[in-house]
Amino acid sequence: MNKELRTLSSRQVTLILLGFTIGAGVLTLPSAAARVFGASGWVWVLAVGLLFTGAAFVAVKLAQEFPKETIVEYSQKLLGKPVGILFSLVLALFFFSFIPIETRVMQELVNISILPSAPTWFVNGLFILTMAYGASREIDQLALVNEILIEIALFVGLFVSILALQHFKPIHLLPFLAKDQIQLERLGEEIGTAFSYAGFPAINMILPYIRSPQKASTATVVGTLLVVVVYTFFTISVLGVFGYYETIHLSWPGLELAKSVNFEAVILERLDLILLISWISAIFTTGVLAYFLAALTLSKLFGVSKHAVVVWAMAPLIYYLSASLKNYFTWNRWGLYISVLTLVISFVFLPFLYILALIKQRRQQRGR
Amino acid sequence: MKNKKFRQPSLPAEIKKNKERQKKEQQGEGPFLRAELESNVNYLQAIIGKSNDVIFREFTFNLVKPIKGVLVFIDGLTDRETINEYILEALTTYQVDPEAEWPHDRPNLAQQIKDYVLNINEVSLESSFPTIITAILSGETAVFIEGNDQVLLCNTRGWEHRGIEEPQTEAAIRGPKVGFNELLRSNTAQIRRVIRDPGLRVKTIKIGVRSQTDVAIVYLESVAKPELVAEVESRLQRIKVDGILESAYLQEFIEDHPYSLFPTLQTTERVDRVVAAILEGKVAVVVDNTPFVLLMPVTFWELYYAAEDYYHRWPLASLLRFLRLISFFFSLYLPALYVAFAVHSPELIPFNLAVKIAGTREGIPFPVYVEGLLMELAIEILREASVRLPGPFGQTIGIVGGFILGDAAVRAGLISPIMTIVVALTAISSFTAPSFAVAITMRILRFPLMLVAQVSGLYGLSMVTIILLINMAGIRSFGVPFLSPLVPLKLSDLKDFFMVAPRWAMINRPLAYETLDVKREGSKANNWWEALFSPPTKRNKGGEKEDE
Amino acid sequence: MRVKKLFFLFLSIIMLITQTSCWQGREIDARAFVTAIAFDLPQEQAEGVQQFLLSIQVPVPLKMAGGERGGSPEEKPFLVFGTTADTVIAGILQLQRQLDRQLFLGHARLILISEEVVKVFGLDELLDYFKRDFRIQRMTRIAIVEGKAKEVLNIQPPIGQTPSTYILNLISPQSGSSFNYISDLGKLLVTQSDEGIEPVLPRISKGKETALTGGAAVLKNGKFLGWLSDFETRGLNILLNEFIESDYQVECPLHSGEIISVGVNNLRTNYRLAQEGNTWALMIKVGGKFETREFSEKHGPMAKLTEGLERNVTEKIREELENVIIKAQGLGADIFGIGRYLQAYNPKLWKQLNWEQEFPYFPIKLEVRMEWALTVRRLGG
Repeated sequence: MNKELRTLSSRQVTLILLGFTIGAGVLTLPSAAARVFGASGWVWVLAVGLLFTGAAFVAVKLAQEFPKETIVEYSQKLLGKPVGILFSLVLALFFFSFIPIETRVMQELVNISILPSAPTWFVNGLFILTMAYGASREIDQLALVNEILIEIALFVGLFVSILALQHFKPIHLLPFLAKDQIQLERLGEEIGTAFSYAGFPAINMILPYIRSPQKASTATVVGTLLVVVVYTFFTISVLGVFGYYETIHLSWPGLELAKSVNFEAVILERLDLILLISWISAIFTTGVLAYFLAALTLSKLFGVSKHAVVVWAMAPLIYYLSASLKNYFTWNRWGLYISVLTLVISFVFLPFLYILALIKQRRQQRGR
Repeated sequence: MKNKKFRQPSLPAEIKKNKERQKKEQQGEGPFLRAELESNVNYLQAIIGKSNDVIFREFTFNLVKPIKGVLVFIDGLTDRETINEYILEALTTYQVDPEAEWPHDRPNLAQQIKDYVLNINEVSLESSFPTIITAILSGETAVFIEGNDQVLLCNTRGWEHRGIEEPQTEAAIRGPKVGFNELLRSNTAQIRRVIRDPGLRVKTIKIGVRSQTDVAIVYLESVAKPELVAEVESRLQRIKVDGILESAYLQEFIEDHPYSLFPTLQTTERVDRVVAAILEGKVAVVVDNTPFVLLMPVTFWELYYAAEDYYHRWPLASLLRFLRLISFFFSLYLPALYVAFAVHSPELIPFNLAVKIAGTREGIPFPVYVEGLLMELAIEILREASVRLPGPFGQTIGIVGGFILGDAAVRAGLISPIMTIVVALTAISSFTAPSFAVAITMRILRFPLMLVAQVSGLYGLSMVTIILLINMAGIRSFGVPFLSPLVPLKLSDLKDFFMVAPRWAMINRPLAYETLDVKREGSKANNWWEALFSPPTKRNKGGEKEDE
Repeated sequence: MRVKKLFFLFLSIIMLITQTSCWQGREIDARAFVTAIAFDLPQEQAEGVQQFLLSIQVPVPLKMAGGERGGSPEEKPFLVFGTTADTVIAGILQLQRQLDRQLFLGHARLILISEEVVKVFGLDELLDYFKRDFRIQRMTRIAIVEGKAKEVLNIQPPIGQTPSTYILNLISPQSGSSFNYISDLGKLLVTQSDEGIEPVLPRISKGKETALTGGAAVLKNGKFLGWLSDFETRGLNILLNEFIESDYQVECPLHSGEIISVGVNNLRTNYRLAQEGNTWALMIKVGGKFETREFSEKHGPMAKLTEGLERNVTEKIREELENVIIKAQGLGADIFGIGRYLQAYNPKLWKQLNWEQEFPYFPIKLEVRMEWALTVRRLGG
């Protein structure tokens, strides 16, 4: 009925950030953090998270300088047309690269638990089809879907973590910041943690769709902080229940956490399968939002009016890529690339653009 | 029309009027009356006189000199008493009052007859034949008078109709036992009886080329969103169809998502539901010849609210509503979940239950989902059959058929007893849906979900659920998101979602409808949880003692 | 666009329908639920590679389902199959060849390992498969059997259930006996990987017609070190703060030769590192309450009993605890987690020590204090 552009409330913005950020990375985050930082891995998670919150703040401030445009447009304004286009392409690549890895991780999860020998074309294909169906809708519809799904995922995750606290032993979290457990040289392998936090550049694309852009900064910061809280709480739970030595051997600490608290409740017994299913919805939100943002960026860049066209066009490519990530090590490398890209975008590109925007604004003010 | 020699010399005003009429006739607005009785009556005879129930009653009455007239009405659609007493009698026994102000011997006296002579309560003057014919066919009486180019249309409608009965499809334990019937006027009157607000607007339009069905749009002007009303009106005006038999025809034309499985309009037979909806800011569309009224906009959860939720005390009502929401979940997912668990993920079932299920399924010739499909199919067939059979037959067949079929099938070893339980529970859960349209949707969706569960277990089920969710999130019923108040979350609407808030805490109308006047009652609290903690008795105690 | 989408959807549906019941989905009655797994040494050893005997217990659903479809009550509702193999997965595959239903390990909740097997193979080797299979739960209970594990699986429990459920209940927290050490696969993995604590597993032995629990097995680096007796296990439970309640029999302080049974619950253990000069020692403080349960003869007035009784109970408990500490240090296995405690609170010290060698000689001081919670139900002697 109404074709107005600005439809998202700030609450939905926070949830979009939560949904986009909390995805496939979380389930493996605690063990990666433990390998890098030892029994106090949660401090590492917290610190990185706060860094990213700062970057998110810069990003949203940049977006608020141009409340009616997406970053595709104002990056061209600030950097000049060719560099701007290049930058937008990099951003589109950034969003795009999430999708195959989310799909692949989800396929792995499904294949080890619910459908052991389901063929790739089915698992990946169904997932990509569903994502494409969702991504070809408008942002407000997507925001509604995201709301429900991420709330379910968080609720189940929180439920499992709280249940797991019965096995929590504070002694597992000590020694605090022990030197021999901190192996920062392993950071190279475990930089995958950075990609778990990479969600906030979404705000640069969706700001024109937000009802009250001035509230966007609070919404973004709140969203990223919530992510940090969730991740830290989860890491503390895992570390506290399993201890440092066991955690570094686990490949899916989240699932193992759920497995250690199985209880017989009326009908359902295996909490890890329930956690897995709700995690599929969290992975879905990340995937579908990434898909939508990539398609939106590309469609704005190339002047395609309906991003749905780009969505369906990209689907086969995504399927091919997700099927080509053969195993844990391959997608870890892929995660490494995304993390590097994340770091570059979050800590170099966006602040740089922001400074340029500020300079431009000051020049304009002086010009008057 | 053709005999020019009948035309009498006319006054300048009349010349102008005739010229206008000629122009209108050329534009196709239908022939207009001439000032000659005979030509008018001949024309009318040609168009509708061939049926035997169209009565042409000629009469003469005296206004200084005798004037001829013809009454045209349809037997069966009109109330004879009214015609006799208030038209014929009034006309024929009119005593000319010598001191009256109006000239009794002018040729064009329709207006004055209407003002001074006729004592019927609703009269209008008309001069366009199509309107007159439609009026006659609707039960009005046309009074043609010699020398007049206007006709008096008197409302003499009266026919056999059903009285006010309890609605059969939506029975309630508590609450008024009145439903709508097939008369538009009586239905709108019932609404007016409850809402005595001067802002209650009843706008009637005619839809349907051959049926000319009266359709009334009812809303509260100071509450309903003006854009909503305008949108409803414009959609209704755009309908061009032969006939409107039931409000369902209208529903299909004006609903937002014609291909969707989910209904975006609510239909009800109960007066109290319509009244409650109007008070919340919705628009009601009442259609002649059917007791089912359309309400718009509607959210998905509202299709699961029953009228008597608001008549029971709120703890009981909350429990019942919660039960209904759970049974919605069951009616959609239970067979599919059973199939998914049994075939793909038995580790989710506690061990004892799993062994029991496996034990009872020994020797069953069908796989689980075929069992389920067969049983569901059988239940659907039984249900449909029991609707067709009249009266007590239908119920008996349902019980006997279901019981015997199920029991015999289990005994013969064709179906496992657990599947029977699952299917029966599902069927019963789908009966708790107050809205028939939504229950049908669930029944339809259950089958593909079972198939998906068989093929791909819980993973396929979750993907299909997500697809359904995306679909439902995109549905807007007249601009209101279909899944409000869950998403987008409106906290103050949640009080009516999974629980029923007590009456004195419902201080705001649902925010999702963007009504003009948000506050329902004069309470000082700003939102419902503040109001929740200041119930009326507490307020009464705090203030002065009123009486005692 | 819409037509294309619909066509694709239609195609997918056709493909789906023709693929029903594939991808490892099986009807629930086409699966054999494995409820317990047992490891033994086989009667005859094959030459070359060391093999073990893998047995599984499978319930017969038809006999376990109630109602008119159940079978005759005399036959046993479960079956035990065994095969010899050198890896677990080979054993499972061999067993699968005997059954027409697919073995399903999702409900396998009990693993019984006989002590001979643990001495020959390492626990790591045996359990490696279970660590990696998603279907196995972390709450699977493991027990070391004194004797033959397969025999334990064949015990018909006194109150009709399958043996696996029976044994599972015996070694679960709901058994209520403090002579049991409660553990499961998850706990085992956590303690096994930790350098500061050694894992302990509960013990099961076969009585005449029932199975007996009580006692524990101490493992180090996956190999079996020795048994802990019932009382030592109780002491271990106390020291690990996993004690629930139990009864002790002490001598009456006023009349020698008479026995008073006291029930102890509510015990708390605290660890503390203390430095005495150049050496470090661990102070363990145990405190709790007890109440009197049974007197064998008439005794003197209650008021006078307090001090003496408290003293006796304290002594009794202290004796038990000291026994288990000595046993552990004798075996050279830190089953109390002292190493972990050290690592947590004094990492420098931990790095200096070679804990494996240090533990048997590390000074551990014990302090016990028991209070009589005077909840008397009958006054008088």
